[in-house]
Amino acid sequence: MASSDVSVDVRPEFNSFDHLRSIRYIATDRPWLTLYGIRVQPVTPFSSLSSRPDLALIHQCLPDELLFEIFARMSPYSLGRAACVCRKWKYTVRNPTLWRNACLKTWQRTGMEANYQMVQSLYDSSWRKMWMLRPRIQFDGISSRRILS
Amino acid sequence: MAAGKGKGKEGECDMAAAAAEAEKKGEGSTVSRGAAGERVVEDSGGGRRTIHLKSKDGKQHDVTEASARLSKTIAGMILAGGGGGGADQCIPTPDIDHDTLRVVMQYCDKHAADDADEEDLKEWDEDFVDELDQDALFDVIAAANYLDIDGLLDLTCKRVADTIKGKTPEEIRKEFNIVNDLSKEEEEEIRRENPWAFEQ
Repeated sequence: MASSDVSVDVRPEFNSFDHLRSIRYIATDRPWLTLYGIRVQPVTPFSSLSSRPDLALIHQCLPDELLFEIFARMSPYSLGRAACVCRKWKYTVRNPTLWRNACLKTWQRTGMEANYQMVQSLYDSSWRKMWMLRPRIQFDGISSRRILS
Repeated sequence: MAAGKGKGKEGECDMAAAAAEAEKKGEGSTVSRGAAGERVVEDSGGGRRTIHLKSKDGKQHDVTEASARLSKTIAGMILAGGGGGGADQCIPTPDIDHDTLRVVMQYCDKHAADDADEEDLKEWDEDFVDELDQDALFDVIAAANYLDIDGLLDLTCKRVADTIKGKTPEEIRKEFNIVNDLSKEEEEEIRRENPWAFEQ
């Protein structure tokens, strides 16, 4: 039987859900009907901090562990600036290994064991805190100055 | 016990036969016992055997074994006999495209060469990374990591680190096309935490 053989007249109010909003059913409340026609936005995944796609090649090509490999070859001063670039870099720069290496290199004359004891007793086991708070001699060519952060 | 002895004799015969066959062919291979007592055929050709590397896009790249062995990943596959274990092995590198593989193996060929002088190598390395654009550089970093080539990973990561060195956050963003998703407050907080970083 062809579909053209049957013609059914449908009342215009049944073509949309709008009429259902005004009808009150006995003892039944249907608040979800107000959602019809409203476009519900999906929640942004936790991992992506912005809804826009990341256009940076460095982020597209390299995972976080390789970004860390790059940061591991940078001076603490460059790391401090890199932390201001974006959130991804900010959190990667906070890796304790980077700051442990910086501290052990800067205060290598103190000795590794003494540095480990110091970071535990004075800086709450935070190498980053140690780098930020411990006074250090900075050599600028001729003069040497004591940096107090 | 007797069966064990017999098996040992048989193994020795196998080794002798293999050595004789190699000598007959004039290949100069020697057959010996490995650390675990297994039969090892050593190629005295100085790693001149060809290794076929198959890239992500299905193309084949031929390199000498000496060059391929600079990659710990490939060296492990050669040792395990991955990809056939015959005279010429075919090893898949599914994460690396052909162009990147060619660049990586160019580095390996240079560093595997016997006549490589340390000073010349340093100079060559400088020129090598200078020729890479940003896209290629990041691909080579990823490939060096996958293939476990320490020297190349160090060289390329240092290059990116040197690019960042001495630049302000704004200049770094411009260099790498990074969008700043930090709020004003967050950025100010970081600057307050790290004032020493902005003094230099």
